[in-house]
Amino acid sequence: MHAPSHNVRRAILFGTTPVAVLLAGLMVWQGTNAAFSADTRNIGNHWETGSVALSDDDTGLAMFNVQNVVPGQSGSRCIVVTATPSVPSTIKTYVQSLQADGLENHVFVSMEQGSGGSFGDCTGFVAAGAAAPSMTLVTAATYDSYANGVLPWVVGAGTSTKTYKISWVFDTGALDQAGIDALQGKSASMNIEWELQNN
Amino acid sequence: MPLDSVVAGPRSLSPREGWGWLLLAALARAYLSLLATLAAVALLPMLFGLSGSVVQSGSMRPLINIGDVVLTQALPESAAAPMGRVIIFRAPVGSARPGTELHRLVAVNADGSLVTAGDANADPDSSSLKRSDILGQGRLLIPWIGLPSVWARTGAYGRLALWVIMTILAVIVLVLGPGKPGRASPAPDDLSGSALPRPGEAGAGEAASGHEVSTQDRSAIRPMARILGTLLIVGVLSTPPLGMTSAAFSAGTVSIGNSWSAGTWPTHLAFTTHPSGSTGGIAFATQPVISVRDGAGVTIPGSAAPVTLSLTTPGSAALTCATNPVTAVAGVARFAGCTVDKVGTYSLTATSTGLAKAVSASFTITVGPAAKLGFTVDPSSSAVSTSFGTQPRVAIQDAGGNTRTTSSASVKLTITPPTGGATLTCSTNPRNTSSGIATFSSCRINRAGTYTLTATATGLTAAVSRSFIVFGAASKLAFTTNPSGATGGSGFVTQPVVAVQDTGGNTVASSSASVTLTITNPAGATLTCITNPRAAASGVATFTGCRIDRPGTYTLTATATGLTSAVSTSLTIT
Repeated sequence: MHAPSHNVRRAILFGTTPVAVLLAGLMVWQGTNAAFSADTRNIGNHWETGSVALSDDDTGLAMFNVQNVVPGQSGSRCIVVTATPSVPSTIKTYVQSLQADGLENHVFVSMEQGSGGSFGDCTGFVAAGAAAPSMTLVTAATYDSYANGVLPWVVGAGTSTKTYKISWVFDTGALDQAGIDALQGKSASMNIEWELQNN
Repeated sequence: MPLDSVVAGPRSLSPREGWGWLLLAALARAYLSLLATLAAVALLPMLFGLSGSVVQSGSMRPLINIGDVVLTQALPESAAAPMGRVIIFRAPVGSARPGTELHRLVAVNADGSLVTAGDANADPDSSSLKRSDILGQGRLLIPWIGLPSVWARTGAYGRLALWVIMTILAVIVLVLGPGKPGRASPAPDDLSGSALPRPGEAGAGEAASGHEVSTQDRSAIRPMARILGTLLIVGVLSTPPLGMTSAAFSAGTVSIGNSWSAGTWPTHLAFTTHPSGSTGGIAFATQPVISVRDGAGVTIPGSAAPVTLSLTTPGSAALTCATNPVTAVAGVARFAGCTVDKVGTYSLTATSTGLAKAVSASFTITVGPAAKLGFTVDPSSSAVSTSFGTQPRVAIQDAGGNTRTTSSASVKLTITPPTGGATLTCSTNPRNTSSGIATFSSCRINRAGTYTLTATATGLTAAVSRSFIVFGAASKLAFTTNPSGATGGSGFVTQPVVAVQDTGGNTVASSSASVTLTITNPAGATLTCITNPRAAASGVATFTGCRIDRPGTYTLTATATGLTSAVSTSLTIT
């Protein structure tokens, strides 16, 4: 093989820099155009699946859908939350969408965390760590975002699960009979949310 | 294969004259040009008011990757929120990664707050934004150029070192130049024609020009080192001052629509059927029905509460039902056979423990048809063959005992029991009633004894009077109550009562004989009473305060003038 001629050498070296500069410009133009000019986020339905994920075993059912509650009645259920983050993250629990239709000050909820049990059945649940004390739905609804969520749960990369046991009681202790009777037919509802954010 | 070329090239060529070196030099040149251009594009617009940030995490992938530099332009306060566009904003207070975040603006809530989402996050961000939280809108995306600073920040020193070495090697290759011996290097021309703004490179080009490569190697090292330093500074250190922004990963799960709705429970009673009026003692034609109800007035089907009925204001009347209280069946208590005896206007009150009571509508009880007789005045005791002190009156009554004033039935009195030839004599017997009442007079019985009178009338239920005594002449005394239970000097717990009786033992109610109590065998003991002797009242002497001062067992003797004495049962004083 012969050494490259002077002209070839000169052409190649002369051309390299403009091409590189052009390429850089193209990259910036293309990236900018794609990222900042598109109007929708769901481009090509490309979710970064598996980056972080948080799921529970409720199959879309509400934990509580309790009809015909009478004073003094109580109950509890469990839900298993599974986190699969790719980076260390923190999960917090909070309440949203309180529908206050009269029972919000008389249904008290509390939450324990631990392991065992399942959505359908708390059998085998073992509490571990801190618990959220009993509070009215109104109070619970003040914990309404990740920032003031309760029971922070720090997880590393990989799959982690935790069972939350939520208990409720319809407590009319402070009311007289007329006040209790006035609650008939009233209701309240809320969503319980778990949110993961990477640390 | 460039390397092969270098190794296998013709022996007459120096290593830097072959294709391999040429390509290596071209690559180094291209790499450094690319790096320098990207750095310049990242930094220069900042002179014109754009802000740059290095993206630190991957939630905006695939379009924006870790290590990309984002140049953002501040939005005027008046500008509308750029829907669908990528914005940089303050991370919500309390978020796991404080600082700024780069996400896309995807929606507006009903309250005007803004919803953001990472392109790579399945869910929108949980915290919404205010318009004022938006720091700027993404305008320019420069790929990769921030990677070294991300590596430096995240401690990926291996990659950082690799990059530094690569860059240094590229600089060395550039410095050594591609030139043929005796030929002027084209490098200065190339470099001066490039977009690189750095003077060091021009100097390097000058240094490189017109020299033999072999000598160039050494003489160019020092100026070239300046270029290297410049490039490193530009490449590595230019990005941290841009600041870092997060494109944070987040995910959520929700237990949706947890609801509680209060049921119903018994709160009060209510008359579903009110009692109708009736006549005395006759069951209401319409019997009361009471239901157990919730706060909304709906009958509780499951209730089995016991319900008690009473007259709200009874007076002298009485309510009688077949069963009272009645246990509710399916929330309803049905009464049967309820009657009120006396005439009047009444209402019923239904009660059950823990429930608010109910009061019926008022109803009226009137006098019903004649059903029975009743003594409105009973005969009193009297001496044999002497008219009773109180003469009997008998009323024609309805079932409830109300006098039927319009009746004029004939009432007959007889002795019950008709013992031993005793005879009742009245001025008129049977006697017709006047305004429903038969008033007898001069009734008397000719023999001593204890009697009742029975009043009868055709078609009516008979009535029986209270018992009374017909007595003979006073003959004897008798202890009707014996003294008992005493300690020395204290009054007897049970004080003695002595009756004046005829020979048949009937109390002589007309007697007021003076009765004296003594100890039958005193043996030095003394009996003291508040009054002794004591006069009989209606034939009975009731002693009070009697006591004996010494322990012992005694009997008391009652005496009265002309009457046979009586001796009590024995009494022990302790």
